Amino acid sequence: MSGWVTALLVVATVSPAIVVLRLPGIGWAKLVAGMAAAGVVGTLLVAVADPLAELAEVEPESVRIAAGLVLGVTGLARLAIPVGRREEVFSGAAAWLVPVAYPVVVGPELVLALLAAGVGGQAWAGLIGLAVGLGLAAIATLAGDTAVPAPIWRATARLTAAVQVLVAIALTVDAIRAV
Amino acid sequence: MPSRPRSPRWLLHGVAWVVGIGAFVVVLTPPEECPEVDVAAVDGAIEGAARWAATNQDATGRFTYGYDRDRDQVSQAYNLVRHAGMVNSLFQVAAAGDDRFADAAERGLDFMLDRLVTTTDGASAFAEQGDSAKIGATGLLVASLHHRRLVTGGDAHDDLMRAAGRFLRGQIEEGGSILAFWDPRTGLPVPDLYSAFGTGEAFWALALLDESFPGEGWGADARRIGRYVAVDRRQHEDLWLRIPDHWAAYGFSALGTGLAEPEITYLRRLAGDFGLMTRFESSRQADTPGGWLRGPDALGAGVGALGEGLGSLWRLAQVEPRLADLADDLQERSDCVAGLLTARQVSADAAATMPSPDLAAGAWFHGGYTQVDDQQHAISALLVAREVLAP
Repeated sequence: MSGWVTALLVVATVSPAIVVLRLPGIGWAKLVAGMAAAGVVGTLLVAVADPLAELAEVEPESVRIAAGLVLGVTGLARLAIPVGRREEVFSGAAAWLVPVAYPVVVGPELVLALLAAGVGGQAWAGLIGLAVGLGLAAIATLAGDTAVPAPIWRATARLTAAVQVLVAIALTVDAIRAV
Repeated sequence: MPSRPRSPRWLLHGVAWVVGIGAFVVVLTPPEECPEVDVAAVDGAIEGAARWAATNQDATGRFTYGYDRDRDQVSQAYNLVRHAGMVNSLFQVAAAGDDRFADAAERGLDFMLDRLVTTTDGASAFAEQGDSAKIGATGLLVASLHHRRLVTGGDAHDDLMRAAGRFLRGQIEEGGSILAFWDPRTGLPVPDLYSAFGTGEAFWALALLDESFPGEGWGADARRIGRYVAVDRRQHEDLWLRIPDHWAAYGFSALGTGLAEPEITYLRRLAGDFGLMTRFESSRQADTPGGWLRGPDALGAGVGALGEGLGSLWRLAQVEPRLADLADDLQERSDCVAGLLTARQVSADAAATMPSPDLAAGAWFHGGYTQVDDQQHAISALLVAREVLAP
């Protein structure tokens, strides 16, 4: 599977529209700090993906199949219900961490997409997707929260989820066909 | 006053993460264990399996077909395709330089020579008199004679090889499909019946005939079947999934270069099938979640067939540039199969504690039962794995 498609998967799993919907009214400082933290965690995940798979005695293709399956299912769930209830935001010093970085941005989908990129020899694609996804999420949250009505964000989130499902299927098929 | 969440959702998220990671690891990515293996271990396993066949062969050349160690009971069933397969494997052992089991192979061949049926236009098939002749049995007769020819260098059975080739040729349909049976009552192939593995066995046999007798047109027949297998088979035979056909891999490997692009595409997919199945098999470990969820070890015949397919494609990847990028992965999977086979084989020491040590030593059991094709496929897989380990 092309690295650019993998990058698209990572962007889809960040799902900027869902970030907007889950973090209404978040201040820019908390948002930027949370995105930076997510970027650090994401970069580490890409870097440790291969050693982690080796430690777990799992072949990279098996990780990609498993990731593809889970991402396909969670993508379908997101397609049906793009976002549950809004996150309650701490106003304390740690709000950038909870809920911005975790659990909103660094969710299971992003972790799996980054692991799949890391073990698939497409770390560069994972990092590009991460940077683009976080950048879009930050811009959308700061600029779009008030300017764009929620139904538009929900539609965008569903579109992103559909992309996630399609790319997850491609990832699974590609890994199944790998030797 | 800072606002606080009414419920510790972050904690719920944390629990969900732990449960999710656990489920992911246990259900989807259990450890895949490929035991270490070297040439000596492979040689030992080949010897053990070949000895099982030779020890459990009667004076007519018939092998013990199956053995249930829990009941200490030998199966009275028999299957000519599997007989021919074991004879071929024993001749492959001899062709690889170990002649200790050549006599067993010759006895097995005698059994086949006593069961030749003349079909159309003086062609010959390996079948019991009065029974339908299966292309697979005759295909593996040809493969046996080909490997015997490599050992002896003699031409004693060349006419028979050609006659068997003519039988197989007579079963081929216009589009390259090959009918599985020939009916002695009608003197004709049985229409519309195909075999999951007989097609590949016949394909390989014709490709080997081309190796033995170049320029006689056998290669063209083999290529017709090869094209059919790669392109048209699933639709023609109404197959939902591609058959993980190690015999077809042997056939394409014997043909070597000159393959068309659709055949290369097919072979890449086939390599993927074998790779996936090997990874799955290596995650089946008794007394671990992988073993509980993914079932017990596969049949020795199944794991062996995987190795045969992987090894054949590895051979092809050495000469076909369009498959060369798969060689390293094929090697890794082939090594894994060799490791699984050597680790799962019943050793002589373990067999000594069983009711009938000779029926257990060197065999692969599944649910307490072993069958001649478990040893047959394992021998052939280990022979090619040996080549992959020490090219």
